[in-house]
Amino acid sequence: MTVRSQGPQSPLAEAWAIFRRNRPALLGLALLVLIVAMTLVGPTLYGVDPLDIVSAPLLPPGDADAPLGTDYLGRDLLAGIISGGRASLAVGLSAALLTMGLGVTVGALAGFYGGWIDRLLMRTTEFFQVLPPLILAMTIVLLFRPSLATVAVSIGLVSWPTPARLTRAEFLRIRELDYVRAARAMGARNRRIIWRLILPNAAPPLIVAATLTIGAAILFEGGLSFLGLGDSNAVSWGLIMGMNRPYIFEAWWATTFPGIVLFATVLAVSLIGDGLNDALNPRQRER
Amino acid sequence: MVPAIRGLLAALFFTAMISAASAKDDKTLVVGTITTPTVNNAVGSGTAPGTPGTQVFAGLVELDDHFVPQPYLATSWDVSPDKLTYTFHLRPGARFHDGTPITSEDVAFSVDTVRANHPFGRSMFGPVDRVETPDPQTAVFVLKQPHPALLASVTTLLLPILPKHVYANGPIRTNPANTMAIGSGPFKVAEFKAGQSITLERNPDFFLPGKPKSDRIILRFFDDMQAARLSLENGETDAMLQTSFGYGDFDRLKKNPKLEVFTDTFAGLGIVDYLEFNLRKAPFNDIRVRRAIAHAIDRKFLVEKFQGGVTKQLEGPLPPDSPFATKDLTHYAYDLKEANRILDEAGYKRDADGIRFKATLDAPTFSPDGLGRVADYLKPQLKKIGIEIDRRISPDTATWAKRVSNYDYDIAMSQIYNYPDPVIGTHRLFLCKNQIKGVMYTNTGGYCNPKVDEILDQAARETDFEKRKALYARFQKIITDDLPYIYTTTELPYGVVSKDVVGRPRTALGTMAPMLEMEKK
Repeated sequence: MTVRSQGPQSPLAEAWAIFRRNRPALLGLALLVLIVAMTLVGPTLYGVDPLDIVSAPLLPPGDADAPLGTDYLGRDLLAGIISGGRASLAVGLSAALLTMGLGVTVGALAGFYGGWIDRLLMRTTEFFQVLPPLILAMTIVLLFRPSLATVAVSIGLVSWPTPARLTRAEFLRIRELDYVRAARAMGARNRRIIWRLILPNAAPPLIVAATLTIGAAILFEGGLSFLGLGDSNAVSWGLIMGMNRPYIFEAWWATTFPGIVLFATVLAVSLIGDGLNDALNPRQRER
Repeated sequence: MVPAIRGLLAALFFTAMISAASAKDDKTLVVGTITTPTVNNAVGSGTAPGTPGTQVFAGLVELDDHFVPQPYLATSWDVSPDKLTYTFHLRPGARFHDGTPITSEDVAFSVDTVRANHPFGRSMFGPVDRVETPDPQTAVFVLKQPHPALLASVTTLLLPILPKHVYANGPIRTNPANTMAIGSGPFKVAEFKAGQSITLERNPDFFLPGKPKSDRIILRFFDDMQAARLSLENGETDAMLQTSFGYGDFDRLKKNPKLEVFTDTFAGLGIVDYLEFNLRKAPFNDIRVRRAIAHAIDRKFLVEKFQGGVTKQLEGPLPPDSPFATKDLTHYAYDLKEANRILDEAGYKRDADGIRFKATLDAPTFSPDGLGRVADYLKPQLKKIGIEIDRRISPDTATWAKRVSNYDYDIAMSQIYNYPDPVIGTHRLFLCKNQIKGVMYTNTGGYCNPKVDEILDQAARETDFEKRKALYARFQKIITDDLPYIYTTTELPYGVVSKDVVGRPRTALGTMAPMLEMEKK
């Protein structure tokens, strides 16, 4: 029998142990697993086409054909919520990836090289930061056609300055640390220093930021769709809410239910982000 | 003076002042309308310029709620026996807001301006050869051909009489008097706040004595209909004489004890909703495709489920309550099997996903229940017959209009005002030569049938009502055979007015009529 707690722990196992002690974070993880499972297998289990008109419009919940009621066209709301998760989560995830990819690249280059590269990149970042993100995203979506891809790209393009700033700060700090100086003295190439020395040590706050970005991106997609700028050919939670918005006084359910699911998802992602923050931040391990 | 009396007098004076001030405030009517960049309805059509334009300008006649012309700026008119000469007698002593007398020169100038600049100026005043001005009080319209729609065209909405000395200077579209307009109507423009409101003040020298009743009207712009509805419900806005609220709000507003909801002033607009096809493109140029789509639309469902039973099902180009409407149309019953059979027979095969072909579908943002919701409905509905719809979102009406008018579309949801006479509102969609790229509400689909052109041309000069009606019956039948447009429903706007307000205009043109009698109780 192995006694795990006695041996030296890997950093990942240690982080998981701290994460596990965080009840809200565990709850968030469970909630997210549930929601992801719902969107992945739900459509197969509940075989109603979310775009099909199944009954009269704006039927209240509890109908035999539509347990959660119908939307403004007479489509099954439950089917829409189950399928809508795919688009919402996909956009959230890809937008977060794009945000982090852009942000980390810009921040790493600026923080590592400094000088004119830093000045150029930071002025660019500031330019994006002073523009209101929602307005900028709306403009980008409208310049091209609203589709899941353009929505994801537009979210990525307006959200990258925050992780860029964060990454730059971490790089500025770490590049002056002794082990980096030592590696440089030993003749290590820049690429090796960035990839093997600085980035892994800058990772914990970036992972937390990435998690929170997913939540923000899902919410952002919801907001764009709510304003009527989503991809109307792909069902998403925000789109369901946006399309039923004019009928909110007649049919509260058509906006409320997708809203609750969207809220639960973003909450779950945020709770996980908080848990990761505790788990990956060495200064808080004593707690 | 005894101090007590002085005090009493002061108090009385003060009270009088306060009540005078509040009475003045109470007399200000706030009327909601949609945003307009201009007051000048001589160079733009629709409710946006039409609402302020009909307050600020005056036309020769006004139509009553039965489309019968009534004297307005013209006190009377004579028609020659051959119906080629109309002589209008202007109201003596009538003046523009700047004090200049109105003369027949101004009438002639206005006809030229409208003909050259208004979207349907050509159909209204193309048949007018010239306007003669034998004396300042008399304007003689000499026609090239009989023109049964002339009297409906010389209304304030369609022919506002412009002061020549103001609008003849430079290009009319950039004239500063398009916002600070000078006309001869019941109200003067006191302030034009771009994108927000127009403040109108009573014209004390208006040619109808004792009118208008209100001292001041603020036309408040609304783009967001939800905001407009809330503003009416909480009493900030006193009236909106034509709304495009959803039909779901209709019942809710009716239950509001402070508001009156009405639908009785829109008959002259003749608003119809329809699908239009880009006939320049395959497969939409194939009549069988359009027939199949016509069979796939359940109009009963649209009227009852989407439009609260307020509208009517529509199969042809004219609304059922038009005096020229016929029932002798080619009907396309709701029948998905038949639709599929037609497409199968025409050789449009389904692929592995059951798709025969794809099409884009555009809809404007106005008329959410009439056009937007129907466009959303068509996506799942047409999938049942193997047509995959790519529903293109337009952020605003301008984007939709730009796509359709530049022929960058497959299928679009559209709406048109037929107005009291088909010559004014209807012909423009069908005449071969009226394909003007970039201009909305022309023959954007590219329909061309010489036979239809001939019938419409005859109907435009036929002065006998029954003969005209027969011509339009033939026209409607051909259109439902050729199917350049698939008609869905009529659109019935509704107005909302506070019960504190009396004397809303009784008209057939919705919000585009002078508010002569309207005032707060």
